[in-house]
Amino acid sequence: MKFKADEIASVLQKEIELYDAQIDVREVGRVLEVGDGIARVYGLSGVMAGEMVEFPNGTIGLAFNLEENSVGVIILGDYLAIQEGDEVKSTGQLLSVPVGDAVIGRVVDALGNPIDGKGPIVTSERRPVESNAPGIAERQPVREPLQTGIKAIDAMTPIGRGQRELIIGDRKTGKTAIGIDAIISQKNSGVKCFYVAVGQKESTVATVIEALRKHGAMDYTTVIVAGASAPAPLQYVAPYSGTAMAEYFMYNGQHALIVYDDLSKQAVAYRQLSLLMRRPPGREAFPGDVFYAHSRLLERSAKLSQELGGGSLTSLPIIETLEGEVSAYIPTNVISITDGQIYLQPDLFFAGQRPAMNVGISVSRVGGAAQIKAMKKKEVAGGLRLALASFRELEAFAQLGTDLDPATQARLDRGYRMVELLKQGQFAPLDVIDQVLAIYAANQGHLDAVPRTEVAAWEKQFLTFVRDQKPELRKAVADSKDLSDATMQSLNSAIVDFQRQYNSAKQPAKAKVGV
Amino acid sequence: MSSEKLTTPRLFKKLPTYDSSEIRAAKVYATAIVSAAEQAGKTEQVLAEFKSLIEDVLDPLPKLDAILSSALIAQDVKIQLLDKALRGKASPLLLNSLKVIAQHDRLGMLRVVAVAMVVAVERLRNRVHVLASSAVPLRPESEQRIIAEIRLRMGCEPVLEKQVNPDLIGGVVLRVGDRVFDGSVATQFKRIREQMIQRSVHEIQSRRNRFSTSEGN
Repeated sequence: MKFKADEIASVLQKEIELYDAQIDVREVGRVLEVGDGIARVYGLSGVMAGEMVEFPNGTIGLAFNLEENSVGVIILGDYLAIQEGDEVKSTGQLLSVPVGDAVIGRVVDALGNPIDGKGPIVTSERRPVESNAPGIAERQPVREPLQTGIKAIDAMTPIGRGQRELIIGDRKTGKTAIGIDAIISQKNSGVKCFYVAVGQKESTVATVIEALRKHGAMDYTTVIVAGASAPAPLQYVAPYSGTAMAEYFMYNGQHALIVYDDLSKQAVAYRQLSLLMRRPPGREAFPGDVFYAHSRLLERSAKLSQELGGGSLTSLPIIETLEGEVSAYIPTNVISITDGQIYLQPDLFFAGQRPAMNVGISVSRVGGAAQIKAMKKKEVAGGLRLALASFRELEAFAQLGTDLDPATQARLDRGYRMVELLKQGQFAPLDVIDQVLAIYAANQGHLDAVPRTEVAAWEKQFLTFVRDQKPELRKAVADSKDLSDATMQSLNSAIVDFQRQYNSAKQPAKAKVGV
Repeated sequence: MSSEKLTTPRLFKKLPTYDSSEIRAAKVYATAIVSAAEQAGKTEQVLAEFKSLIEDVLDPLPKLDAILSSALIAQDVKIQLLDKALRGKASPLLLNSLKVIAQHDRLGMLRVVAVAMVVAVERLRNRVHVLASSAVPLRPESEQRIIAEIRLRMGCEPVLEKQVNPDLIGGVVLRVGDRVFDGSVATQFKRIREQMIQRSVHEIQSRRNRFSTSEGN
């Protein structure tokens, strides 16, 4: 590409001609000390809390602590180039990030600067990073489902648009996988997705972005990265920036999903800042307002009223626990803020149950309002949670080796198959209609005769069967989003048909599954 | 609030440390000394002596500074030392003030007290400290204009401190308290540069073909 020098020159010339020389009036201070991502500034007497300030090298800071004789500033960027005695000027503006369609599909840092090498983000629209959550009058109850494509979640702890559902668990239990699957599952739903990576290894983030790209999810997803090597202020700000970008869609009547991965690291970054700023430490050395830091963030997720367009922002905050300790400070805080939690356990994970969700203590407080009617039916997932919980109890009892009567054995068999059915691979979100069909089949005992090891194969073939040979049945469920008695009848007979095909073609089918 | 600030640049530069509780204490001493001096009608004299004590005695003799600040040396020794050194040279009011400061073990913060005194006196006289930086030394008539302008706008008497900074290229930068009125050519250049980048990026991005030809692609 060759540049036309005269064209560029003419544009610049116009700029110079139109330039209006004004006296630059600014309020200034002087850096007293700087280090670890914060600076103490003398002067700036008129600065307001949360206001942006600018250092001579163009780095931006936020007025964090207003003290009697100095201002504590958190530095959003390279603090190594800032020296003692540097002039700091206030800008009179709040921190804001670019928003809108231009940020979709991009990878940005906590300030909205692109870091994916795909050129500048061209948009004039910006939103302040910190903004008030919608009030009571501006909201309506959550009622539309947000399908995560994960059977265990959509069936037992359904998530609605506008809900906050916490994903909590030890390291390496598949927390991020649930967030990513939920994003991938939004492919044709029109929901814009935001993935905020806080304090994570850059290599992990690169893997996540690659996975999203491979599954076509980067077309509607923005990734906000403040990695482990980013200064603490950026890690602290990143979730708020991501929320600002997602909120834009909510206030425009659209739907958005945001995954905060993870808020424990953000809390740690905030603790670091607060301690450096000499704010008094509280429990686990976290500052007293760490609860507020998370509550004001998560309160911004909402389902707006119809007058405001009915947009929604759903959030999936992730919290990492240590040794399953949910009663630590940050986990209890976030559990109390959110509308439910998905609790992941290492022993389930290593026992091969993935997602490793502990059904007994995972809840969704919005619940049934966020499910389609078909899923809610007692023949499908209606009583599934309780049934599985009683199965777990029975299973523990059965391990004592006592002789079991046939009825108990049957309940156990049903439970084993249900557990098997709820296992699901990564990056394989399932359409909600398929989920309904599979869970219905298992719940009605059609899988009781299928060996446990074959449940996954049976499910896969059954869903293909319905799709190919009974499209009208699938369509009936998909259109009404309900299971009428008549549909259930024809579904039963379809399953019987399939069982016959499956049994007669068992040997070749088995070979096929192996591929 | 800005008039409360201790921004007298020349004295400030020599402040060894910055401690907000020290500044708070210094303000109390400064107010007391200034109002005592005011009653005796010797404010300017005491202030000049105090400044000279710091600039002509403490600055060239860092060891004396260390002795006065040291907690290892007893109060009465310090008081005797001050007495011997300054009796007859400093005004009794200043000497007494220093002794009071010594009694409270605060001799380490004499510089901070001096800065606080300057501010207190300036406030009392309705004066404001202005740092004027320019690329070339100011001509007397422009100096007069600046003073008149500030007097008119801020309603107080400016005390002009002049600074020559060739990096400004042209124009003048006035600093009053925490506010900076920047009319320098250097800042104008910086601003026009930022503006050009900001506006042109959008135009170049949206209309690439206008700025480039397809040949060589």
